[in-house]
Amino acid sequence: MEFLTQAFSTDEIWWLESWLDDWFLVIAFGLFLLELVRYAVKKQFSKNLLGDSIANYVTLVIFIGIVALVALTYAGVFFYVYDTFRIVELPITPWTILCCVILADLAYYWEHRFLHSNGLAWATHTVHHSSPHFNISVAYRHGPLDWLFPLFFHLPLAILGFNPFIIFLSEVIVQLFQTLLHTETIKKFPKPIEAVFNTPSHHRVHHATNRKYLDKNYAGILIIWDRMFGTFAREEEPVRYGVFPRINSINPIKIFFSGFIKLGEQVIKAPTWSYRLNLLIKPPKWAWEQEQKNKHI
Amino acid sequence: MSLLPSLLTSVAITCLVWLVAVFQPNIAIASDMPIVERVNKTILIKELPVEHKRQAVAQQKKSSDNFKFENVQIAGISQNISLNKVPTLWNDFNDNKTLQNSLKRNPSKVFVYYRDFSSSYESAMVSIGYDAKNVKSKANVINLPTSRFSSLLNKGRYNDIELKQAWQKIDYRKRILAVVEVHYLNTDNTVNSTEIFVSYN
Ligand SMILES: [Zn+2]
Repeated sequence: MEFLTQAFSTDEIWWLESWLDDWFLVIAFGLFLLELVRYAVKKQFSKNLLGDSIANYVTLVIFIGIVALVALTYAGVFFYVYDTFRIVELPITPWTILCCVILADLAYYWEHRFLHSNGLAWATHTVHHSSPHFNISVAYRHGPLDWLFPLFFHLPLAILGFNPFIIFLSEVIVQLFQTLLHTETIKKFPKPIEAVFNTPSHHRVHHATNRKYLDKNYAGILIIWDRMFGTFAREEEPVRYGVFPRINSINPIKIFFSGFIKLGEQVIKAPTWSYRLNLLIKPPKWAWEQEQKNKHI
Repeated sequence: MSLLPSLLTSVAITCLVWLVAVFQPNIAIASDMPIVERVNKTILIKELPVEHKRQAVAQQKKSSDNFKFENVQIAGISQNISLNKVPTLWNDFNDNKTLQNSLKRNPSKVFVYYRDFSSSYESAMVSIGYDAKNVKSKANVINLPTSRFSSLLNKGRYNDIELKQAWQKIDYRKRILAVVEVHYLNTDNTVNSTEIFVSYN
């Protein structure tokens, strides 16, 4: 109990965050190598799988480059809002961190649901979904604006008085938890775990193109949000991964910008301005349906 | 659940978890003491062995020398008193109903501002106050000096001995213009963390 309310300094929080981030990358890479061995044993290893995985890590490198450019501004916005608009100042304790992780996880649920709900956000998030494979390297497959949307969903936490360092740490914890979900190695966990937490099984469903799995399981750490808000689906039939239209490429640059290139093409070819607006604000399915209709005319 | 009830439920959950964070138990290092008791025990300057003093001076040289209070005004009470009597001033501060009642909202910090030290450093002009922005009445408002301050103690939660040691880091060979302690408060007005600065002539 005492530990929970022990105060930490922001330096310690920062240190913890970097430490988790770095070591997780190493651990996840180790697990990924194990997955490759498993693919080899099951004779599922292919050139495409290897190329796709390398492309995943390359998008990570490009993404880290972009994040380095915007990180100071991103953090600056949080500190400005925290200093100007916070309604209380919460102490830096494990108790506060725990509360913040729960709220950051809820914020993530809504952010993620938002990413799937409109063409603009989907243009960046589609990158993460576009791999036809499913392994830990996919967790690191990022799109160009993946850093932008979390901002709006986590900023309210700064107003509520959570120190920005705690918010950043919580965002990292929610991210890292999910990293390990990107695997086919684990079938299902015991029922109580599957009931409360997001698991590889639940997250496979999220990455599926099967009709009954579409727009399901947005959760980060806790699957209870999906169960509560009616976006939950259980993994029953085998999952087919990827997005429509298929991108059929292992070129990391092409993969990285695929969403925005596709969106750009659609916007240019659009017949009317209201169609253009709909491309940005309607779910990706809308654009796809329009194109199917046009094909048949 | 459809979209709107889901959003409303989320807001409700957020409020609930936030309240749990706000009203967390406050049991680590003496922080459940009221400010007055906690600070009472901290401020007195006592002799430490020479070696400590030497280390302290060396450490202080390393520490940054570039902090400024930009336009900070404090509202509270002031008295020219012996440094031994500072705890009494804290009692007066806490008992000052006019001041406490004119607070706009829960204060997030308390400043203690020492200047005009006597030549022996046994007494000084001492002010204890809240950020004036937070106080309705503008009587007895004092400006903190805009001179350069160096940090004696970085922001953090300290025990009484550590707070005492911070005062030992002052370079008493120089003329001291001011010492400012900033005590950050929890929502229940107990001290969360402290920062101490010194400015030399
Ligand atoms: Zn997704």
